[in-house]
Amino acid sequence: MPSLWVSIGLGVTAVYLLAMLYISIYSSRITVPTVSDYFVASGSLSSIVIFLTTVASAFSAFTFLGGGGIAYSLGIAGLVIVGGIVVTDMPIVIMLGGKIWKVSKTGKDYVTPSDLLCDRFDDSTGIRVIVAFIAVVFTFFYVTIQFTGMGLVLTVLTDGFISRTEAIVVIGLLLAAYIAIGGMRGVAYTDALQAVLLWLGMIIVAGWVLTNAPTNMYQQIASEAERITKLTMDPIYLYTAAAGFGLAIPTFPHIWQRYYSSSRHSAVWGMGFGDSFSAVVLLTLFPAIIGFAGILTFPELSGGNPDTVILEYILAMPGPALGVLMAAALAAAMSTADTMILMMGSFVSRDIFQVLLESDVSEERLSTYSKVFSGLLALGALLVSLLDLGLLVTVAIDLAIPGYLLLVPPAIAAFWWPRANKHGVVAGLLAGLAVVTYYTYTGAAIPLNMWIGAPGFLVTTVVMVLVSLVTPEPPEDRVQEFVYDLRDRDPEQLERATSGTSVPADD
Amino acid sequence: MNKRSLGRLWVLIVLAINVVFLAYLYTYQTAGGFVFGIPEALLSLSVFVSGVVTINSVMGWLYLGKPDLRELFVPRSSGKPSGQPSMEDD
Repeated sequence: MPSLWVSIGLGVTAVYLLAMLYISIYSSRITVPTVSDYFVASGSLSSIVIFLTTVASAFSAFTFLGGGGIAYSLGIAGLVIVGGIVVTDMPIVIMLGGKIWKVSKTGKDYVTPSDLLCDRFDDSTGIRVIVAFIAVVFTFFYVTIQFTGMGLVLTVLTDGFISRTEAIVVIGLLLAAYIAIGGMRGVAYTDALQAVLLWLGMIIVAGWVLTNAPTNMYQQIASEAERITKLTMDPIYLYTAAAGFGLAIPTFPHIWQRYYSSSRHSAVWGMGFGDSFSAVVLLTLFPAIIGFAGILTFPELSGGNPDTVILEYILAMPGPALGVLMAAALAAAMSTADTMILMMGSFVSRDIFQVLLESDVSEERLSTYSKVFSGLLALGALLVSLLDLGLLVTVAIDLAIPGYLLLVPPAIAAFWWPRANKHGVVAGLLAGLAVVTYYTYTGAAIPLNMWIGAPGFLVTTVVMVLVSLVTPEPPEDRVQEFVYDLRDRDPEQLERATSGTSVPADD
Repeated sequence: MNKRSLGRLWVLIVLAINVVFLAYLYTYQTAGGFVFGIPEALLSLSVFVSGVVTINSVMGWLYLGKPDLRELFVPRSSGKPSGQPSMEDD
């Protein structure tokens, strides 16, 4: 039998999970039965909701568990990999995101990133297929990380009373239900609550560790672990990992869709700020406290799973905190998983079912199908996550983020390089994909000790440029609209133009 | 300063930030000391990333044409089409 505090913690967690379901049902009542409204809320979400849902979506089990884990195992070098993303993330989230937001407000019916790229690059089926492949396949790994995180949280915090499999199945089923019911509104509103819980949980744990740590904590740790005073990894690897991770963020397909979902221009700044500020606090400062102190307090984890360091601290804290922290840890994983599953559902509904298979079902029926697709994807991810994929952060960095990074060159070229055409983009993406796949699965040495995503990014860029230059120019009207006209679009006019649409607004 | 000039200036600043970041990565290949009981490498990283976020926040706000940031922290009270359902309406 679980202890009293574990029982209370499970009770609080159950209330939290039911609250998620209630919010989702509530959201479904204001969702119009169209694909666009189900997946991107018809661009009607307020800046405050976008701000919170971006934080919740971008910072996940990877943050709550992986942040402390990577600081524990890699020391300062681990903090550089995850916190160093600020050297590129806010500029690209704002510059590229501002363009995506603007063009999505010009009467477009975008749902997936492929919709925009195909619109710019001459309705290329090839681009739609490749982007859908990258989004669905690479995201699938990322979602399994979240499910693994959920299982880990409940198993460790209940001291084995709930097994990893039981946790994944129960929460996975509930997740599938609330995603299918609520769509983007359900996910965004639950994310808002989950973002608050994530921050609250990290603040409580970091605060507790700090107040209970010895005054000379870092000197004591340094005597045992040199990795907290110097970088123990190659500078080129660290730079390419941090900068590449930061560059990829706006092209995470689920983050990209938040640009479509936001009604106000200020949300673009909020996404950039929320992302960078959270990276500094949640991925740098708090892991430096929790992960480093864990080296001293839980030395046995170095031979086990360092990702559990924050959970070990939660178990060591006074009992009453357990309920909130259990829910916070779950929130971190669920908020990203739900967003990603919904995004994958949008690719299946829009890119595969509606466009590639040329289905002529009504919008209302397709909206219903979308719920089924999203629910089935959640169940599929649940099943795959029951397999052991290894250290959370390693899997995420090795497979998911390099895949998203491939979308950066075409996205930038769409708005800033008039000469870019569909041939170049297709060739670039295929070449980049081949490189990422090769290095991931062969484990071959990467030139200059670069991070695995860097060669794929470079190859995509070079091939896209070269092939674009030797093939026919893109249609003039596409270039005019995306590269030139967009520069002069006034955001306030675009906001006013879209505020009159007949969709529910949440503010 | 117009938006395009601001964009160019911001890109230059970002490049400079990346150079400083690389310098940091090479500097701390050897162990630093402690400042106020905190490892120098950690303190430098914390100051650096905090500074970068501050600079980028200001540049991003200017680049976007100074949007109203109150919208990020409080729900907007106007601009919704009348008669539309909303969370509050329900």
